Amino acid sequence: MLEYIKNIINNKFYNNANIVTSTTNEITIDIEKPVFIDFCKLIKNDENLKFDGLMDVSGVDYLDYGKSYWETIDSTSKGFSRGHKADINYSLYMKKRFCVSYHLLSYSKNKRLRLRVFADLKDMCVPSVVNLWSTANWHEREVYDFFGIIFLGHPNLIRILTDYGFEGHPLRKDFPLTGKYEIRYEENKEKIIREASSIKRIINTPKIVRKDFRYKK
Amino acid sequence: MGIDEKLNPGGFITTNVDKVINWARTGSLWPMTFGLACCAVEMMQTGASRFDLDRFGIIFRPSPRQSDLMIVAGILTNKMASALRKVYDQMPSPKWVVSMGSCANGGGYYYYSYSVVRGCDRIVPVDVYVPGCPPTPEALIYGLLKLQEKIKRTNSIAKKIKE
Repeated sequence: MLEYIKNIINNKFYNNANIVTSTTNEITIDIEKPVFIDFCKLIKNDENLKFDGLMDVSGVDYLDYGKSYWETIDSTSKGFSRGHKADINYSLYMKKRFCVSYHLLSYSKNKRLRLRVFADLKDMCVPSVVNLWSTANWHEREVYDFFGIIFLGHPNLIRILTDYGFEGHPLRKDFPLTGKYEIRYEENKEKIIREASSIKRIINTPKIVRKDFRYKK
Repeated sequence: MGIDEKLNPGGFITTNVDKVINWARTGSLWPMTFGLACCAVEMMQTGASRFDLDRFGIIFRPSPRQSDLMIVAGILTNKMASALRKVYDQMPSPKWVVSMGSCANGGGYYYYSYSVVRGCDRIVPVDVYVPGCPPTPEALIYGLLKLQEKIKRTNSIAKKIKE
């Protein structure tokens, strides 16, 4: 199947798609946004591929990707928690911060495939695949809810899991873990009211990864 | 209530009536099924044949209108809080709440989360807190027996006459 897909990409999507294979023979295809829908249509309808099942749509935030915070020798006073750092250099991640990955399954050929398409920070848009796989409807709403990625052409792109009137996108790396508000029942007003969060933001106590004999190769 | 006027000066009869009322209330606690997370599985286990809540007269009801006890079993999220309060308001008085598990008691594992109510006592008044993550069926039964003891201590008629 890998060779077949390579042929398709070389013939029709040259320079727009890139195949990444893992050691366990999982195939991931990085694909450019403009040709994404064409590619999806092709692999869904191709007689030798028939990827007619969309198992999952998920988002990834690559902010600070690849940096290992945990390998320190000293302890730090700043800690390693999420969403409290001010020195993130956002300009490094303009092109490749958010991506959406699609996990496809071919029922008749018993093959799996993963597609990955990046969303620019400028418009945060990815074309919707609801017309191809209708199960993407709720999955794309979930990705929009948690990452704020907009799916162009989605019939009903509203939040699906978080609270009514929730602000922000909680699975982004710069979202504060404890959130901004908390709720309680007010006896006098007889309704549930929303207040600013009273607890302190959690900053984990730094753990030191020791470089002693146990970790030598 | 008409019974207050008839029992107005008498002391000993009213306390006995209280006993009868409390006997009836403790003997048929009908909990509103409010399973929210994994604690609900333990709650189901408690209700099933091995631990058998039926022998305490505790029978799960699917409707808040028919129940006088709510077992909040599991983590209460911000989105669910208004629904929980609505169900609580729909229950007829007298009503009690058992908070089951550390999440419902005070946030528990999800204390620092952005989407979670840190303890269901922020939303509804709680009578008994059952600790555990999740509590075993024995622990839940112990909590329910504690609630029965609490109900037995209330004097709904004698108190009114005293006042």
